Amino acid sequence: MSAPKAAPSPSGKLDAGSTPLLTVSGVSKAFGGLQALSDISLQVHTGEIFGLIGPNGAGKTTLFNALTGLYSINHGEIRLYGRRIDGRKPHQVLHAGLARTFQNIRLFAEMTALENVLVGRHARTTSGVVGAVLRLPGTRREEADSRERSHALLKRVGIAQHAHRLAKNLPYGDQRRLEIARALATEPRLLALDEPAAGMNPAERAALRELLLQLQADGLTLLLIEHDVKLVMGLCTRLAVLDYGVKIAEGTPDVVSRDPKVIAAYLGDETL
Amino acid sequence: MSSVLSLNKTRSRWLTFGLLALGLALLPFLVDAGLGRSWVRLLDLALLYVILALGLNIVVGYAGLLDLGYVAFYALGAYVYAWLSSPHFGLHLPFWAVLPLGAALAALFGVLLGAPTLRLRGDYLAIVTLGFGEIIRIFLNNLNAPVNITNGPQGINLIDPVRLGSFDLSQSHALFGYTFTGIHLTYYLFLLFTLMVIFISMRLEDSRIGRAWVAIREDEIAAAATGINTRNLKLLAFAMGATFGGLAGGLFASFQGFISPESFNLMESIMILCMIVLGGMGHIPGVIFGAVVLTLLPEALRYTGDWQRNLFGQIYIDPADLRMLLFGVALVAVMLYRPAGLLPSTRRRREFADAQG
Repeated sequence: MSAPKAAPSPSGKLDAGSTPLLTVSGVSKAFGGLQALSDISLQVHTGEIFGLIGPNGAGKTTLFNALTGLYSINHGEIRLYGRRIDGRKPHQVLHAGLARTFQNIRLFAEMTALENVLVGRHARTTSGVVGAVLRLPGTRREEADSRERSHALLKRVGIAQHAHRLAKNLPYGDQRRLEIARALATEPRLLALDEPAAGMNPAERAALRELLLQLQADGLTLLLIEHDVKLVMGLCTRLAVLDYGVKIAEGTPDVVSRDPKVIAAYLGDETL
Repeated sequence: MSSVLSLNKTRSRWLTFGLLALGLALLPFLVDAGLGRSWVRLLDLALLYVILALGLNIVVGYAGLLDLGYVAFYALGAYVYAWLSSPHFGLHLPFWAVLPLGAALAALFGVLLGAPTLRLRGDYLAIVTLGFGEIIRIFLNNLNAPVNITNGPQGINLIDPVRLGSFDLSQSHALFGYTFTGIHLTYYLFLLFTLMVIFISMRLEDSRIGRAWVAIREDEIAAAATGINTRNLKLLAFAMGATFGGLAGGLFASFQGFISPESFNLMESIMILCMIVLGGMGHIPGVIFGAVVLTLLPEALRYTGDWQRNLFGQIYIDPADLRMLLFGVALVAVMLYRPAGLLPSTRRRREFADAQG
């Protein structure tokens, strides 16, 4: 299970078939005296829905922030398709194919739903100032293509009717969906969702579950932080459990839910 | 049915466009006849401020970077024009070469200012940019020794007007049987540049670049996590804004024929910021409206002495004092009753309506 601590080769070109999609090896992160993450290692394989669970303050969101370049890590390395992404800036991590959503929704509040998704296209488009001012044919094609894809994504997550409403005026559940649509617009290989079901009612949760399963069926790999144990157990192919910044268990939902350490740390406190 | 409708729509759009063009073309003559020649001059200045306000609007309105030193770019454009087109260094390059140079230098300084301030936001950025504006002004004030570059507080005089061949824009010309004074001709030149700047702003607003700027303004972390290179786009915003500032500076120098550091003080930066905030931040028609109103209003308030004399027979309050007082009252009133600006974008209007409702 211990990932080889290979010398940090710049390109790390390995055979894509044998390489897991995301490899986290020995990652540590401290804030002053607080050890938020200690020696975390895990692997996410293509096509999985990988769950990350643990009590509040266990370091799940910290790990997400470290993965997506918002935090720099103190030790260890993170690879996406064998290429190092630790030490990269957030937009570079996104270019490499890892998109995310936020626990406390972070939409562009004063932009419409459609515009939010169009911003997601930024990373996969190239037109600049001259193209924009002169509306060169390439820019127009690119813009039309972005709009078409963005409309399709809004439809896909089920909020096509809200395309021209301001993001902040959408109902809560739809804001979460919009964040997913925006992340999907960046054409990720791995989508990291930070508590996507938080604050949703049972009907919204069921719809979200359907959406995530559909995304998986379409070949997307998902990394999921979630507090809703029922949702996680039913959805995830594998789970890792964090507690106080340490990974205390990893495996299929069945195995993890029977692990005494997990029960003590997490499930034991829950009224299931 | 629908084709008839769309035909009508296109036709009415062309009609509006035609009327607007005709109005803008006749405006200096109407103003000249109705209010006097000094108001045509003010019209020219108003157009300059529209260019300046639209430039600052890119930095403040779109990218959300509070810049209080914007006037520095205006000054740089003006001094580049003065250096290359006046007896000061004995250079007399043509305006079509000097204006782009001034704009380019301003853009370079925009990047130079932007680079060290990338991590700053809000109040902190405002303080640093304010310092930058003052540094440029103080440099201009003191660079007359040991080598006389800026001629210090005396400023640079006898700057060349815009000239095309032997056609001097500052002189009166008889064209099509009418006499056009220099002020009238300058109006058309400035109008041309203003329309260009408006066009560029509109195109940028509705583009990949414009959306990225607004995304940075709305939430910088989310913007970065959505794949926007926030560093490059902020620098681009600074550079674009500074380009417009430098262009306006060059036009100002050619128009006045004289510049000195005094014209580029902090008050000027704040005035341009007021135009944006008052008109409607991030909304092009609002910014244009704000620039025109705030150029003309202080001038109109110069007549308060005459009003007092007409009403009371004598002058009670010095018009110069009263003017600034009324100006301040007007600003406060607008912010109280129209907090989103005089002509807010539909977006901002909704935002404030939501906040109240």
